[in-house]
Amino acid sequence: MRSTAKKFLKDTSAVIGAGVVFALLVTAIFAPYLAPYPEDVRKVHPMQRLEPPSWKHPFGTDDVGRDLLSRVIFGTRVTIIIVFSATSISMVIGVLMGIFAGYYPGWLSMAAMRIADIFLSIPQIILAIALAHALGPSIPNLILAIALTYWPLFTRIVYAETMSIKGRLFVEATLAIGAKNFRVIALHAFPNLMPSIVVRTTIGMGTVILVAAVLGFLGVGAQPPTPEWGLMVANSREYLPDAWWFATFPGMAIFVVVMAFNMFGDGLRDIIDPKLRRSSRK
Amino acid sequence: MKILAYILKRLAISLPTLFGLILVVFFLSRVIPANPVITLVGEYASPEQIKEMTERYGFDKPVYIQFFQYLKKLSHGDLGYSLRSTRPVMDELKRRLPPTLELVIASLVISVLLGIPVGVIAALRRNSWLDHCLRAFTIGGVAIPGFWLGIMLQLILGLYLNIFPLGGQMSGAEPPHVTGFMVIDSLLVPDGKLLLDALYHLTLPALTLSMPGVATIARFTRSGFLGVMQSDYIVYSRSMGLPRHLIVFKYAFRNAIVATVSQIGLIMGILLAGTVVIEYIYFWPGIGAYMVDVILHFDYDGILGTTLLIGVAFVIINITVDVIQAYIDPKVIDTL
Amino acid sequence: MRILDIEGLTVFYHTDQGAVEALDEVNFSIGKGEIVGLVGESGCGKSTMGKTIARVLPESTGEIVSGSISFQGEDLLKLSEKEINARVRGRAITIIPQDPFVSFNPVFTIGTQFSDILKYKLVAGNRKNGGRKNPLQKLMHPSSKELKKQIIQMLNRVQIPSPEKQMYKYPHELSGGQRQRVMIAMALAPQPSLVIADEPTTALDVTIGAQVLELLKDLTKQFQTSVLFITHDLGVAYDICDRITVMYAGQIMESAPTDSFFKNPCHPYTRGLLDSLPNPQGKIQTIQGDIPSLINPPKGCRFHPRCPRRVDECTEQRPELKELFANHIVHCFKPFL
Repeated sequence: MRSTAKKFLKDTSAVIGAGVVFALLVTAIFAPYLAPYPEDVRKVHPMQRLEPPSWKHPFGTDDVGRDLLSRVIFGTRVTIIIVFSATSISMVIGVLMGIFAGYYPGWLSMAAMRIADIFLSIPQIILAIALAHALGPSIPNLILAIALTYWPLFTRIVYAETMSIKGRLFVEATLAIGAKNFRVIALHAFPNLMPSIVVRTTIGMGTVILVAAVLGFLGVGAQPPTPEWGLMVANSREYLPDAWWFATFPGMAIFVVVMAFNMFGDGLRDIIDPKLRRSSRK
Repeated sequence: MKILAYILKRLAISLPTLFGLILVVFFLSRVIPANPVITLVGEYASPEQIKEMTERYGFDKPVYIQFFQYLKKLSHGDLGYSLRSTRPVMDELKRRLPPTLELVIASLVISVLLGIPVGVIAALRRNSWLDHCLRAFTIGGVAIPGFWLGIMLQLILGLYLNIFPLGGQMSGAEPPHVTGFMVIDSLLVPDGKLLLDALYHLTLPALTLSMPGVATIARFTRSGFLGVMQSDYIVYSRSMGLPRHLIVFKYAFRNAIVATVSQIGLIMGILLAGTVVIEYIYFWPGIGAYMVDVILHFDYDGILGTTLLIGVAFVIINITVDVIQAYIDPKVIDTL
Repeated sequence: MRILDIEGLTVFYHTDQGAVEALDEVNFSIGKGEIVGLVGESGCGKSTMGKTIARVLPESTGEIVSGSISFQGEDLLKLSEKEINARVRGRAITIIPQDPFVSFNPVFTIGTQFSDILKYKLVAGNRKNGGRKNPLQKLMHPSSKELKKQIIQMLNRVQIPSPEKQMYKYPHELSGGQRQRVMIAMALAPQPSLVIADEPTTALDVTIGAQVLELLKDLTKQFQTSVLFITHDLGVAYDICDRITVMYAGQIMESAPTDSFFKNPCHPYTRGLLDSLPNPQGKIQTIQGDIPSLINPPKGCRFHPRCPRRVDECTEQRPELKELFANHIVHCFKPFL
């Protein structure tokens, strides 16, 4: 364990990514204390609308006079909630489906894999837009929509791994001794799957944030007055080019956060993957 | 001939998935609570108007009957009517496909022309500060939100510096529609002013759309190239004294390209997905913007038609990529 | 007459776990037209030797710490990369790799790869001779017809049937034996002084390997080419080598003409090796212990932890060279006599 930690620390970008993700979490938790005007999540100050960046408002104010910095800070909460919920839900659905389909072959598992293929045959974002709009714009629905588009990716990987593990001799041996199927799955199959799942999850988080932002931008995700970054960029459009800060800072926040998750995910994959390759893959 | 058989086989396999796609989308769209008829006639329509509309579009029949009716029409090549524009969906798609193709092809070209050299340079200068910068770029390129990048480019290059137009394919005058590709049609006239106009309009959207493409291609080219340089056959070439420029540009390059081509399918997926947002921002009259439109307004036939088109597009792309790979990597032919 | 003379060669590999001392003050030589076998277990440093002579150690990890490699009157270690690549590699020194399948580039035909090796030979050697006409000058910018002729000729020599057709095949379309024959052809075509054969028959079936060995022996004797034959298989070494050198953990243990080597093994390790070969008596002897880690190798003679004849000096100093009979040398304080 210690040597893997040391290897991770040698990877500069991974460390930076991890650092930013950590900062993100901290910001989200302590948002009310970090934001200069925490009440601006709801309160409007029409007199101060569209003020450029200044010492008082480092990011300027938005179209109804709210301090943009505070809203961006509170946006971290929205982002964290969305990304962790959506990823968890899709991971649970996807992994369960994958293990089930891989372990109990039959027409049911074929059907499950076919459905996964169908979901994967069109770009994820289109599906997400459709689902989000159909379910109605709100954050819980947004989370659900994203989760529903993301689970097939997990299922595919887990299915393949489960099938290959099932064929391995040690599983046959364990079953021969009389262990019950469920035990075998829980104790043997699962630990072998963990690395792939972890890698897929962290790499996927960046994508989830981007999708959520796009949905917010298009208006099918978070709704005003929620301080969601994509939504803020959308609102900013009609005030361009004068209120450049309104479009710039929330978008930059998305960029920085996604980049951090990607760097962190890549670093994780680099230390986990070499071990992965030793297992019976292609 | 083997190739032809392979293509047919792949097409046949993908039919059930496409069918499943239509099925799923159809039923999903019918079970959502919103009523498209209201969207059509407005909230203040009278009950008789609503009833008339509902019957006209067949929404009163049970869902599975609606589905069979749709399939029947589909077998005649009739994709139905777009509720929004009251034009046949087929016409809409035909009109909007060329602009999207123009944009995607331009972005693909940019991605390849920029991405491969960046990847090769980064690989050759491994671990130098240049390599680190380029690698940061590859990570950033896929992290940057497309809509934000587009807005920033519109802001800086469009509004502040006033170099590029903000949206649309052309500013008013258009060449006669031969292909639907503004650039090609302008060349066909030929009209230099129109051509310039078309290119100016194409630049910002193509740049925005290609950003994740460039980053991804650069990344895969770099790692593919590095992997190849470690391989035994390159070590052998070195041991037998082949000059370095030959090893890098003839041998390693060729092997790395093979790896990159296999990613083209992935790149196309990224580009097509990106068109949705990019076309929306740049008011580009393509399939992506249409898709957003029909989804947001519950235009059923529009949704189904566009989904089918996208599904077919992906099937074609995947098969094409596999066939190309067979041509450039001799080993693959045997595995088909 | 010696064509290759290695003195005091020390090579390290730098890894995450530390510096691996792969070669320790190695002295080694090869005579003209001689087939010398370099024998030892996996990890003893024999492949490293081959790679060091050709100067193809991995750039990021391999380091030549000290020593000299004298070849045709020059110290190879003092030459620049450019000079080695132009004059030595693929020309005066060629290699036959272990696994011909992975050593061929899969996307080019063998004809293309063969002709590239012949084509790109700078004639710096000829320039040195003041531009005198030299049969090798034909190799300078040869026409493709010329090249094709040469290639077909060589392929015939290694008994590849219908070479005009086989030239256009891809590596995966040939059998393992054929691939290795082509490798031999490519190694001998430039008429080198030294061929480094790194376990050339390991990846082949036994019968095919035997044919390949015969071929190699024939051709190198014909051309009077010296061969550094690296292998872990003593049986193969017996078949083809004029002289056999044994390595252990990066040190040379013993070196002798083949007959003398098998009749009178003097080093305790060599004895152990030969005793561990299956024999009609049935019993297989093993050598106690394990190969030491080369990151922190034993001092003195690296075999001493496992040596039944160990004395105190063995643990402190490297045993000096002793020439026991004609050309039969050992590095040992207490050799068998």
